[in-house]
Amino acid sequence: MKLRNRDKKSSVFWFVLGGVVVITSLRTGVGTLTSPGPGLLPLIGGLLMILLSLVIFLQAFSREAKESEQESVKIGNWRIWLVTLCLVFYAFTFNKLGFTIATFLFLGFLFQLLERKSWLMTGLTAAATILCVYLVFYVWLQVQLPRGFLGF
Amino acid sequence: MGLSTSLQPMNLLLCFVGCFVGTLIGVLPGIGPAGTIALLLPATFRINPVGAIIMLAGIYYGAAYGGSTTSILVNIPGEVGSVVTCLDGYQMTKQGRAGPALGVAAFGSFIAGTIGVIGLMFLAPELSRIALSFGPPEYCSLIVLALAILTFLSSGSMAKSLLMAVFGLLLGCIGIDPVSGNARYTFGIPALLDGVGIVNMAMGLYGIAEVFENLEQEVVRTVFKDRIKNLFPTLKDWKDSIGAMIRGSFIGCFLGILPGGGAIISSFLSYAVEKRVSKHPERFGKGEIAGVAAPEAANNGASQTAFIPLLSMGIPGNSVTAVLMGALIIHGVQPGPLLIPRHPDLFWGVVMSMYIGNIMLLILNLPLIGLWVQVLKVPYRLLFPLIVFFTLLGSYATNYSVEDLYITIIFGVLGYLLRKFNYQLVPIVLAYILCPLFEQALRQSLLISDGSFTIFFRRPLSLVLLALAFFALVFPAVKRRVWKEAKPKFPWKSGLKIGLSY
Repeated sequence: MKLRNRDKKSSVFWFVLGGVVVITSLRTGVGTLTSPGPGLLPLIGGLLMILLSLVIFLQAFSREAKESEQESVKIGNWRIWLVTLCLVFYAFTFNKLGFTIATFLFLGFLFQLLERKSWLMTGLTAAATILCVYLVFYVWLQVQLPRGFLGF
Repeated sequence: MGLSTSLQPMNLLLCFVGCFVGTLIGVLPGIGPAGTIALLLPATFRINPVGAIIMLAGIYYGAAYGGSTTSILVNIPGEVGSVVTCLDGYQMTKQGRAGPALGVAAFGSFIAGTIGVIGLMFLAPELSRIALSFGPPEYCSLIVLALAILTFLSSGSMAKSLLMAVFGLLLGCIGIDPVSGNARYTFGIPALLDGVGIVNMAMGLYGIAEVFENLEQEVVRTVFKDRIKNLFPTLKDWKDSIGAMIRGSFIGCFLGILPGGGAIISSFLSYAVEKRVSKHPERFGKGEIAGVAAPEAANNGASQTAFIPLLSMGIPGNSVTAVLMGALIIHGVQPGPLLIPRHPDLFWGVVMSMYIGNIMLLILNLPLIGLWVQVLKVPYRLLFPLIVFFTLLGSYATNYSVEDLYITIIFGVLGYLLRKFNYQLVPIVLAYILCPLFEQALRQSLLISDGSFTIFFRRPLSLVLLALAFFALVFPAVKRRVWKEAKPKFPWKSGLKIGLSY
């Protein structure tokens, strides 16, 4: 997407978001100016957001096209979305499987992502990392790490 | 008093750890000081606030030192303030002069850091005293001014930067409203009652989003193979670079005080200035030592003086100081004009440890070059999972809640998308951390004035601050219309242009 199109699309997003914020802030209660309520700052913020999104939208039309902005930029590739999925999966299994297993799966998978190397080396590296983290965070710094249903 | 605090063995150790870790992450591209400080924050819960800040501060200015190593050796900036150093530093390496380049960068950073700490020592208490006479309306206007200057100095569209600041402000509204005690925008999620969390935000926006950006390309790292000889610059090198070091130091120290005027702008500006004042400007870009000395001094000076507004007035100037502000709050130290009077041990302890830290860094950076070069050999396919893992671990460790992991991931995706759509991330973090203060000051002002917004304009100091803010926001638009094709007469203007267009 070229910058101009990106700006147009993103400004629409901010416009809508600003609108939502304004509506919800009015419902929360702005209070009076003498005794401001919780909705006052969100209201101001929402209104500013709407205003600025309009400015950006208009700028997308009127700005002279610079060379660097003419190029199309691809947003995201399969690696990024895969890593995102991985992260979500990790968060999901963090408590259920416990720190050790979840992290082992997570690291093992990601280590192989960019370049396939031997599973043994990958597994060993993951295990080594977990051991270090366990020693530093759990034993020394006493950070509570979750145990899964398997008990560790 | 500060000296005795900073010389305590525990604090010395923490200072060393901070500087070491800071240099390490400065060397490693893909993770920066903001994310690292957020990551190590939970680890500091068991240490007292003074020690914690000493260590975290060490990470920040240590990263400024470390970033120069990769820029010079392999043409990859480890940290944003070292981008300009690549220009001449890498050329010097190709000419076999990596040693003097590294040496000059380290010494320049040391000089700048020392000047910065002196500035901190004298300016911060003074500014704090002035800020104590601020009432809520002045404080409100000061925050508006800070965000305006940040917007002015940010590259890209000002409207977009302002929008990001507003976004950050709104994010700051999520959580329990301080006055009424009601939950705002929490959607019934308990994890959001305390707000989204500065740690989650910093980790996501700066840790995970950075990894995503790197995953876009195959990151091919050229490994540095040669041995490094002659670490010490020759007498001629000194002669050529000392002026650059001093000029760079002052530029960096001055710009570092301004919100948004940090490592990037000061390093670009000092490079531009050196090129203008040099007798051999054609040498720049081909391995001119002043082109290494000045930006390195500037980025260090800037990271040192960034503490001035934070410690004297509770106004962070960039995302790193914003996270540090979060650290102070978590440790029970309220940032603001009362910080220095109420916690003199903290302030002077940190200041003195900065002197010590600068010396430590000078020593760390020269003999340990070999170590840093080894670190660079870690392939990215191993590095990025570790970065992501530690990012998530850090988020988890703040509150032992898995919801924090999800929040961090969301910020990661958000940060990546925002960057792709050309939005600046710094205003979000700054506005977010300033939101509670801003809202409180706003409400108190309205209470004082009986609901009238004119109070901000009736009080002289507040009016001045708002006028400056207005000027900062309106000036560029005016300038574009009035001075269409004016040639820059002064070096600093061209430097600003380069900095602004980055």
